[in-house]
Amino acid sequence: MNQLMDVELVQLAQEGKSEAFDALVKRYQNKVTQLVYRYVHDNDTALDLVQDIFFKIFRNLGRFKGECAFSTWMYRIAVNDCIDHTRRLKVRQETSLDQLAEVGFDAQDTRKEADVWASVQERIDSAMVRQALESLPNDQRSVLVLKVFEEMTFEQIASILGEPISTIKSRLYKALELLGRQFRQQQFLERFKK
Amino acid sequence: MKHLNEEQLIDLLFDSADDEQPELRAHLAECEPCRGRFTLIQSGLTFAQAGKMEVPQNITPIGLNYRSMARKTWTNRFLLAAAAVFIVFSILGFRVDYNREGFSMSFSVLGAVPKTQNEQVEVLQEQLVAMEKRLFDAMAVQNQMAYAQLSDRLENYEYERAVELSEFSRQIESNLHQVDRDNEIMMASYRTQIGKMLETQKVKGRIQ
Ligand SMILES: [Zn+2]
Repeated sequence: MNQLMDVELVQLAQEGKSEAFDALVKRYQNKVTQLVYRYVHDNDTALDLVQDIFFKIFRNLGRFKGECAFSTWMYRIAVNDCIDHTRRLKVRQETSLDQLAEVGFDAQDTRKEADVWASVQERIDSAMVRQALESLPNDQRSVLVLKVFEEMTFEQIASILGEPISTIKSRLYKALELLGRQFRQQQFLERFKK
Repeated sequence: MKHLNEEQLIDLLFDSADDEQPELRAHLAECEPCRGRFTLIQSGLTFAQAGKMEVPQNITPIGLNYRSMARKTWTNRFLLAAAAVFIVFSILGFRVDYNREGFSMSFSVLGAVPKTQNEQVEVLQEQLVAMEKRLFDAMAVQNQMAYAQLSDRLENYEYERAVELSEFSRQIESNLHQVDRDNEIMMASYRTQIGKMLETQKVKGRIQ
């Protein structure tokens, strides 16, 4: 089973071969879990979503006609599930950009670094970055997670999200522009504190 | 040459414009405004990368296999049809249980024939407790059903996402509140009725 290609496994699973479905799950569950975790940043939520995603894959596999790669189809379900989740979450707790300003840099950190870029990774509070990522509109956040975290190609992302490559690139630009502004705002606040 | 557009700047940042790359770089080197925009998205990328975290080792999904999913499908279908029937049963005196595996039920009012007045009072008190228990169970089942409907509907919207999910979950939530309120009212009236019955029994017991 493990030597078979996705297409073959999908066909067998559609015919009701349970081993084929299990082989597909085994092949992709870590990748999907990783993607979901980077989207939601929480163990329990990630596990719930992964369960839900594979259940959807199971239920809808019969409708999958091979119009794209199985992995593309699967990632599409995963991304949509993550988006739905964050949308439901946002109804309850509106995240605002003001919150971000409240999370400052460590005031005790008095090191003077010549090269901002080299030291920046360790100096940024990752919780703050997470808040910034969560404040991005869903379509921008999806592109960012797939490109920057999952390191997919623009072609892959375009087929997963069902949008032209140019749209994907311009969304990524807007996301990075927004994050860049927030980053500079933080740097400014930091300088102001000292 | 015109200023670089968003796509071209992204191509430069991710090295994804094979042929054009040298031209784009040349423009970037000479053009102040374009360089400004480029460094801005570069900062954004650095910022984002700082948020990239390794996925913890301890999150491993379990139960992701054909068998458990096939069972879940069956349970979900069964759930909606069965829940309504079980509510009726539970009001009639059956005990209804619900868990991840599905429903089960048993008869809960066991009518031992009371002999003395004291025993009659005891039986009534037991019945009050049993009735409360059944009502709580029925409430739980109703809530479970509403949530099951919610998750089922959400799944269907996966492909037709025109409907605003937030509005829908608000509606479900207010339905749930309504169910809770109705149950409270019902419970209060049961309490009054049974209280009266108990009083009557006690008074009778004293007169004899
Ligand atoms: Zn220019």
